Amino acid sequence: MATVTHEAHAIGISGSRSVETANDHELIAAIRDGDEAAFQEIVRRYRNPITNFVYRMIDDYERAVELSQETFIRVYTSASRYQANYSFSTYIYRIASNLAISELRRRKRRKLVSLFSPFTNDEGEAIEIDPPDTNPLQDESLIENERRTAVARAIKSLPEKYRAAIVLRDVEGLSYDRIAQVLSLSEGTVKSRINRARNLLKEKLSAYI
Amino acid sequence: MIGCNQVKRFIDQADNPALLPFEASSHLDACRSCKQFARERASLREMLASTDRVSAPVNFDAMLRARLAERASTRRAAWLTPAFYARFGAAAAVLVVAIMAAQTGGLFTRTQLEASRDQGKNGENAARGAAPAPLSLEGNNTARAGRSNAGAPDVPATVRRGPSVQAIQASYNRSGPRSIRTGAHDLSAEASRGLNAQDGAVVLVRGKDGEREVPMPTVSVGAQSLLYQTAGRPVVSNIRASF
Repeated sequence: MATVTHEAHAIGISGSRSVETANDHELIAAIRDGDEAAFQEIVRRYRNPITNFVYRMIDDYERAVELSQETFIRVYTSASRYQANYSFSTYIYRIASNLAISELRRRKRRKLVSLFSPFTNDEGEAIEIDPPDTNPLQDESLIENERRTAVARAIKSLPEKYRAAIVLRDVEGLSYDRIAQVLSLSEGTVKSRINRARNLLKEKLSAYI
Repeated sequence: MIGCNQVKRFIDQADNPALLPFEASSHLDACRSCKQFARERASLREMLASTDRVSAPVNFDAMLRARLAERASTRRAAWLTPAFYARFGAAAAVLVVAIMAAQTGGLFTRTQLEASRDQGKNGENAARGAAPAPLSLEGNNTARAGRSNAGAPDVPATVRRGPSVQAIQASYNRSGPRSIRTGAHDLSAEASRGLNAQDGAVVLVRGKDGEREVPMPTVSVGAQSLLYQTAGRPVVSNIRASF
């Protein structure tokens, strides 16, 4: 996308600031007034983090891009209803999180069975049988590659309620209180879910830790 | 002195694991289990944080603009969809059924009670001789009550209880296509033929060329405005009686 250098008055911001230096709330206010440049700036700031987050949630890049775009469409169409109670990043992560969880549930209804998770636990959730490869590896890059693949697969095998929390915390680096706002949970519940997610991941990735 | 569980909770929930409370750090130096736990957690965090981050594709913005345009055009054409036509048809059908039900139920016709009440009033007026007519549109073109009509004391001067539709049709057949008659109109003759004066109305229109009485079937809708014309000027008067 072309760099946006519109002057501040174009987005209703006083002074000589451009959209690049405007904060998220100012940009949303400008989007509400129909400023396309402000929307482009919001997209530029958040397209990569949102795409990465959704991808880590659903492990499907093409679909992650579609859901990421849907997130921005919802931001654009509901800009008039946006209330600045929380930070904008919390707001947009919340939309993306809801879309990703809906996608996971939709897939669950379709009963998609992965070749890597043909078994389920007592709660009916998929359990991944992924024994670590104990053969000696010959190349450092291969080791790193397999480690990343194993991490991605381990995250994918987590139940959705743990997955959202651990991705937001350890992949996206959000604080506990912001995760609580994104997921509409108490901070204690978020901490508990992250702890359980880490314990599950530790079991799955024990060969790499 | 804090226990292992509390230290592990500190380690797990710390925003920055390197910045633990002094008591937790002291405990770590002495407890191998907690030290192992801290090492595993740090390794796990590092592993998760170092996963490859995917980026949006280069055509992300173009795709987004296309989808936004598509969404906007879909919204604009929403009224052209079959669903809209189905809703519109259903609403029209409901409206037609409601009108038919109201008509069948007699909402638009005079009730027997109203008819008998009006007959009673007319009888009282006739008994009083020169009883005041409900209203009159003569003279200065304003509605004025208290004027009598010598020709037909039981009928107002300008808004009169006229003959029924059947009587008007019969009169039309007798006199030919002159439904608008000029000059004075003698309703008493029709009344004498057994016509019910409450079944219709006669509107008197006065102008430069004299007056005209226009008999017409009416429906009872309560008080309503009457538009008449005098000297080329349309005048609206609110008649406070149903006819």
